[in-house]
Amino acid sequence: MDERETIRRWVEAWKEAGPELERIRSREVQEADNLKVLAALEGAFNHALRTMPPRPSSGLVEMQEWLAKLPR
Amino acid sequence: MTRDVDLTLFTGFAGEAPYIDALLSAYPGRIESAGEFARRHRTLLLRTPGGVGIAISLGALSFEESVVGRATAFSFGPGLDIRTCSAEDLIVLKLFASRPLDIRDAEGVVLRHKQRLDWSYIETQLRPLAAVKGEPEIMTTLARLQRL
Repeated sequence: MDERETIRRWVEAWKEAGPELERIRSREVQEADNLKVLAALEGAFNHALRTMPPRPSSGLVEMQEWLAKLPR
Repeated sequence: MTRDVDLTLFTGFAGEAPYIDALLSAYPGRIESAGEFARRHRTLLLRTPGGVGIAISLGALSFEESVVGRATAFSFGPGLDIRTCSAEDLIVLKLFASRPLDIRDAEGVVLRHKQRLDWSYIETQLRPLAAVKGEPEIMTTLARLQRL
């Protein structure tokens, strides 16, 4: 099989896998237990706190700049 | 992964100063002159002693009043109830921001709550926000989410 054919098959495989992966994600999101997810992520959250200081800004700053343009 | 706490405190216009001062006496600022920054940008940037970033939006608009008024308590465990915004308002806020991650988050909220969402409310709140941002494609994204 030449490289072009290999790539074509690879693309085809992902075309088929994409919708199926989306269905799986959709089902998992709908069935997820918030408290279990939070517990599972606790270690990663604590690691992030230890290794990354809070950012100097926030998306809320940008949001407030846009909201300031709305009529009061 | 989100590691900041985002809050909205409804202060109204011109009533912010006492809230800013009280919060800055309880939490250190995340930046220099956090109080002055908050007065100018209506966002107070703090951090907890444990290093968690806190961003407090100083709300004053009717949209923000609605977000606060519709918030309900979510129980994270015994004795740990936190008021969180409604699914509809979270979708509005995420689509207003509209970074790729925000849109993905909004999709997740829709997937969790799609049978119970008040789409009319979402559209009413989001349309003026999309207009002021000059991004009509935000409404196109909303239409796509309705079809999920």
